[in-house]
Amino acid sequence: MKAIVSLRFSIMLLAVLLASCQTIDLNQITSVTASLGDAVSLKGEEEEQEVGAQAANVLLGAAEVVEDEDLQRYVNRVGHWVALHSDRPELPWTFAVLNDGDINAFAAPGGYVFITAGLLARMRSEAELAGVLGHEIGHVTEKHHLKAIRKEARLKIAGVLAAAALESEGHDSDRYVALADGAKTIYTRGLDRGDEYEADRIGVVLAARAGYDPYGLPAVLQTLDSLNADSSALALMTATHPAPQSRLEKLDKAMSAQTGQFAGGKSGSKRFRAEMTRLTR
Amino acid sequence: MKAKLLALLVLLPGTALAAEGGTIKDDTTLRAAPAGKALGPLTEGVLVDVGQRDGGWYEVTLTDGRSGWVRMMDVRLNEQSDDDSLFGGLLSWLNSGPQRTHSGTTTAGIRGLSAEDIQSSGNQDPQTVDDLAAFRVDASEARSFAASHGLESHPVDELED
Repeated sequence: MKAIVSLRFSIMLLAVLLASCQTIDLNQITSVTASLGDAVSLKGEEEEQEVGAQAANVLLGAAEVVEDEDLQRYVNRVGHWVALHSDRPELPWTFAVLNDGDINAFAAPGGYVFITAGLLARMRSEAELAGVLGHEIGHVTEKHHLKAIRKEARLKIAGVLAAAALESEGHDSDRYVALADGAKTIYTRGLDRGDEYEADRIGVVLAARAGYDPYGLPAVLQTLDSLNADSSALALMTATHPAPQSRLEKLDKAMSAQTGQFAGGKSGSKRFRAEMTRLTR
Repeated sequence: MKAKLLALLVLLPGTALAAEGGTIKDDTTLRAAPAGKALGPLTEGVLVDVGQRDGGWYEVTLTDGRSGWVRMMDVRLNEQSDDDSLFGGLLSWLNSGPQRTHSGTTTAGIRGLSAEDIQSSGNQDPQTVDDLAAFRVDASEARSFAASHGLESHPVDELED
């Protein structure tokens, strides 16, 4: 009996020792993970704004904004009105037209939305603009870029394994570099396809809620589909998004289920034209 | 730069596709009006001229002269090159604009936001991002813009995947 107790005691002791060893290891791992986590994430909206500014900075380093305040304010009015119908109406929504002939639009965390002059120029109505801005607003409200950029930034930091470096004075600049690099990766590689399809559904719904003809986004996708796929103006868009035909098929399926809610709505084509021609004065 | 932007914006068609070519991509029905009375079937592959759009419907004209309305999602617009579109002027302007300098690789007259441009994007003055705030409008300005243009909010359910 005594021997058995002693054996049991030994086993328990061993178990405790093993457990404590594991605990030490886990603590170390947890500590490293926490410092990585602190480095790139989770201080709420303030952090989101910071990541967004870094991402917007990357885009503004690649293309200038159109220097026409009337045009920029018009796009901001339409965009903010659409964003008021989203899950996050209170964000400091900021829209900008990039002076670029390519066809594209981008979102950055925290409420930044960019559209190229090349895409704007191929639109026919304010409803089309509302649908595209609604798609980008969807990326922001669902935090698609925020999650993807943080993940990339973590990978980059973990790659160098800079747990120590992160606590040094270089902490902030390392973090900014990792976030900017993460943004570059996401803007050139694209989000998950599922994120794009989700943003399409949100874009249609937000445009409809804001009183626009909800078929504006599908109309833009049809325009994209009709352009030569090899056109250099579509290169980055094509590399980062599902094909327009698949996006149209998914939207058609989703919208057909509730067609009744999508009747009516304003196209705003006259106003869109007027806003554009006003620029000639 | 502004003058150039204007020139190209004037070229915007403004109205829905001025008789653009399209192809019926799924068997569908020609109707007298959007969601209106059926005029007859249209089979996949039929060529149509696409006129105005009304919500989810295109007004189309057939090669036999008949016309009517068809679900926009059942039409595929025929491929158009940038050159033969109304946007040609706009695009040539955009392609001839001031050369980029930040990427260091300026190619003859071609501008465009490429993956390389993004990868080589340098760290901008943070002020560049802050400057965007000048374009921003607040919620009340957005609401009065909408009100002055007759835009009204509607309850619409989220779309299911």
